[in-house]
Amino acid sequence: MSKNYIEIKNARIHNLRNVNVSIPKNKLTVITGVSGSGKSSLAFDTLYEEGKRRYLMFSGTQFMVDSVPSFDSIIGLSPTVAVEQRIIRQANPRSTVGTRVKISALLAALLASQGQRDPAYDDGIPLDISMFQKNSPRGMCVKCMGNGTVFTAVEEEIFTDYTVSLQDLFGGEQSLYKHLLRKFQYLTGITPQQCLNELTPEQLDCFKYGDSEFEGLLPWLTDKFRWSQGKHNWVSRLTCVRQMPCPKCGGTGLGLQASHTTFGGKNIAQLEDMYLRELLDFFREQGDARNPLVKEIITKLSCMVDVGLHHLSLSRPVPSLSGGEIQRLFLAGYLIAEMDSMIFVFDEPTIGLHEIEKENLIRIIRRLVDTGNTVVAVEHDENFMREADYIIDMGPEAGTRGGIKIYEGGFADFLRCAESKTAPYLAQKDLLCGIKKDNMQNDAFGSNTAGRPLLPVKMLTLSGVRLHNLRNVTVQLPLGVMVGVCGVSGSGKSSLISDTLVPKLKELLKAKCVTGDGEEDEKVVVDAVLTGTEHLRHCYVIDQRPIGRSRTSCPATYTGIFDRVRVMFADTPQARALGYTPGLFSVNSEGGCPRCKGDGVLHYHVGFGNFVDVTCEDCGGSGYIPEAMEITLEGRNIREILEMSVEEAADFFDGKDKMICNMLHVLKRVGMGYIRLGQATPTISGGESQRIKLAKELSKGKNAKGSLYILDEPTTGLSFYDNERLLKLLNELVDCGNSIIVTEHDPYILSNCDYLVEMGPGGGCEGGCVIASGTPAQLKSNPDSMIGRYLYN
Amino acid sequence: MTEQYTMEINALTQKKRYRQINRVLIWQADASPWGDGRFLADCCYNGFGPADRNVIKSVAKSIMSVCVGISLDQGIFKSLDEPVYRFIPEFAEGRDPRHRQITLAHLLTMTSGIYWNGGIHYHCPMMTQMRRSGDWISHIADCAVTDAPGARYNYKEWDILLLARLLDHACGDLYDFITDHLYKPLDIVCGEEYRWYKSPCGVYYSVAEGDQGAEEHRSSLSAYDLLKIGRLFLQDGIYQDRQIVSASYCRQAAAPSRRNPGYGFLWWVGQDWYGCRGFGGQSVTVLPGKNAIIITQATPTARGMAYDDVIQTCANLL
Repeated sequence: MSKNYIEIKNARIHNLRNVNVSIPKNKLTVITGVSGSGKSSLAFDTLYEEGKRRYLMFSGTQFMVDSVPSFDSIIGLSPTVAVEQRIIRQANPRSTVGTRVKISALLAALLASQGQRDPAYDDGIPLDISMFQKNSPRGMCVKCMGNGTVFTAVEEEIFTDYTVSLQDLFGGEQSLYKHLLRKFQYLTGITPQQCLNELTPEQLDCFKYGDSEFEGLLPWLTDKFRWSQGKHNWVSRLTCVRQMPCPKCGGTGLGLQASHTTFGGKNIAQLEDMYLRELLDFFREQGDARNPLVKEIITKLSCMVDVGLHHLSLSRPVPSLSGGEIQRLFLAGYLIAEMDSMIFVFDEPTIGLHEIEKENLIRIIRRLVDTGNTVVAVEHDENFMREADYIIDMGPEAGTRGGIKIYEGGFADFLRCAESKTAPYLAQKDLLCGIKKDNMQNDAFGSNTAGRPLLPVKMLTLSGVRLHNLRNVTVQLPLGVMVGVCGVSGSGKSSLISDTLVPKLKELLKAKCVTGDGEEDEKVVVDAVLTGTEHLRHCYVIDQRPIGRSRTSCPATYTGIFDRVRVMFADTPQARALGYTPGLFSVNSEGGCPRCKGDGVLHYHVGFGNFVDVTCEDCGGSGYIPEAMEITLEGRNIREILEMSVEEAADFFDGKDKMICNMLHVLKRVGMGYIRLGQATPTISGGESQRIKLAKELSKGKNAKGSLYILDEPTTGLSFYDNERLLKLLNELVDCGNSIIVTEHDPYILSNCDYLVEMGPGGGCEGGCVIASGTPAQLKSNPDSMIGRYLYN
Repeated sequence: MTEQYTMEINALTQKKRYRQINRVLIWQADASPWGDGRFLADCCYNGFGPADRNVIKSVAKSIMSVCVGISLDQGIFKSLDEPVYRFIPEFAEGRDPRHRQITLAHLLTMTSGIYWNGGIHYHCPMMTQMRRSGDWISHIADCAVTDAPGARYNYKEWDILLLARLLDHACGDLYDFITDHLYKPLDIVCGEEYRWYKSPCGVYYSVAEGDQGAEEHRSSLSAYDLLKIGRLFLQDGIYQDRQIVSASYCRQAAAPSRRNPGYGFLWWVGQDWYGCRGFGGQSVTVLPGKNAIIITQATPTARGMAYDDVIQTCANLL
């Protein structure tokens, strides 16, 4: 064969069973298949890893440790770049969209060299770039340290009445405050019962501002308030302490000269806060296109707007972006670089995009191919597949039942491929949309084939929502049905659901609202009115954040299976004879290998920011001490159990433990049959995390009624086949008397909802309104709806 | 003078290619505390004459510490707990609720808690904004207080600038005070041409505007001058039978402070030594156990060489 192909021979990593494929160069290839069938193993773990390895070896930047090859040969490789949705967000917390793509540096250079200086702050000395960088000690505002805001305790509002006693200054009964008063009493002899007007002016000053011994009320309160951000306690509720724009820099986070330098009437902070599309328009109008800096800024901004990031601003922190947005941010970076003859490997590039935006993205990826690159994408999206030059289908099922190449060739022939689990959905469009009707007809729960009845009495009403770009939105969300929330990126879906509805539900339902990850990063109480919560017994918010916090978290630990497995191990005659406890079977407890701390691998830094992982010699990669490994349960040791997929484990534990079987069964039903029980959290995608969380909640409340489930893009990473299974599960939940709200772009899922709310019309400043709502059929005939024409009946 | 000492020092500086060192001096006291002592080594390089002046950089901090001691002796300050806001009105305005807690002792021990990022090789990136602000003290008063005063040691210029303003306000004029109560009694040449740089907004700052500017050279001292300051502390504040500063202050200033055992009151403290350090190789090292003092002076470079090995070699020779 000629060199127009990348040939992979006998790929066998993970579940791949000696896969041979020829990927055409300078073409768009899609690898598809059910979840867990080995798509990523082929695209990322084989093609990308080897492409990267060879390139780094050639360029001499990496020291390599010989590993067991997971294939016989790969020929025709060129430098390979992965455009992934980072599963673990490694971004620096201060990294922003602007710093990431270096536009912030360009803006800084532009303002430093060509900015308009306010005469009042013009000292006649030239400005330099670092003065416009708020992370640099040269540039940052010294008062707010670059944050743009400061915390202040307003003395006049705290000390309004001097006849009040020290202990009642905040109404009394605050434990932490009592400690402070006790310290004050110890140092000055003044008791908490004494009134403020009994203190001498010196004592009052000491109480307020502190001295070398006493901390002082105002500093103490400001500190406590700062650490109470996002928490609900008496300090965070105080109105006399607040966060406000920095009085020195006015919110720019920069020094005086930089804060008072503008371009086209805007300072750097204002420019960075604009939506990218507005900013692009601004520079097209304001800037002189002959100016090389402006030209460069316009080029970069257009690339970012092209990939569908128009709704972001340069000041947006990178850690707050969704996986899809991060992927497109990288994509924009590569487009800007204008390289050719590269191999790009994408992981579901259409995730998080509205149908309209998908068309745009496909066009851009096509442009990458047309300029001489090879694109390989793991993808489930139908339109994307239709655009592909070459299709590789993996299957037939997940895990050990997958790993086989089902098909490779053109799209037209793919439709006729009978063995594929994906092709039938593409060939017969109505297959997926028929689920609801079939489900209904075969089901005793309802008979309404046109969708479930919407009861006006059972309704959540959210009104007066003004968060972010939302424009005083009022929205009605019927209960007892499946509600879909859609809209283009940045139109306000997440602001409405994750940032307003969820915090509001938390506030009103308190402990009855389960968010999976506990209390951390809660935002300030939002300003909106929510009614109708009396119809809800429970609320489950099932997001895409990682399961568990520790590195050694895995599906088994998260779902609680592992606790029972450990007890089973400790209960074997062998273990009992030796007096082993369940703790011996946990890597986080006595059982962990002391050398690698349960990781099984040791990380060595080999220079240039590269790490090499070497299997830990002490435990042989198991992460366990030998004592733990010696105990077996029906011939399997603890590590072997963790290596099992959910499918295998379900067979293994059948008849042994009811709770474990039940949990595994639900995991299979949410499409997670392929995942290994011990798969480490960092390698689990957002979509997978979400489905594991869903399974955990489902296994608990089998006969729960009146619960509301809120899901964020549950179809992420799911094939048609898995979509169908997920949809069945969701429908069952609703039929049992529960309610579901999904934020989603997938037209199949949306067509199967009973009620839709569409946000729009555009992203960022062009969005923030409800443009259409009603049943899918109503939206289809609604000219205002943008998703309508993509829905199926 | 012992030839061997000089040879050893020359060998080391040549081997390490220390081209910026201008002066190395080893002095040891006589058995009698009032004698003149003797020079074991008195090396000059780069055409430096024995009495030529070299920049002192942060050795000025230690000199200001001596001034605080003298002011305390004179009753200008009641105690080291004297709050800063009494002398610097910007710190009485409540710009930060912690300002009223900052005391003289905090400035002496670099524990004011005001935010400071010294940058790599201590190039002081935060000074640029302050210098361009027009009012240095007001700019420092605007800085965030990130640590409770007294809680954490952080070597910074802010504290020394505040101390300069404080001393200037409390003692009339800082340089006049240094001249009258320290330099003249120690027979250090002083006068208008040597008056420390004072910013347009009225803050004495011996390091002046830049690094190599003529203004900075005004605060320069000779190696013999530095030796006198070292001897003052070695002799518990006495110079030629006159008590310049109280013995108790000298001992306290050269003893470990609470938040940094390696730092006293703007004096550095080691296992068997204490002394002054200035950027780029300016040092006074007092070895009380050997009754000896080592001085180095050098032309500072961007990397801020410290020549600790030269000092160590000298100490080993004793």
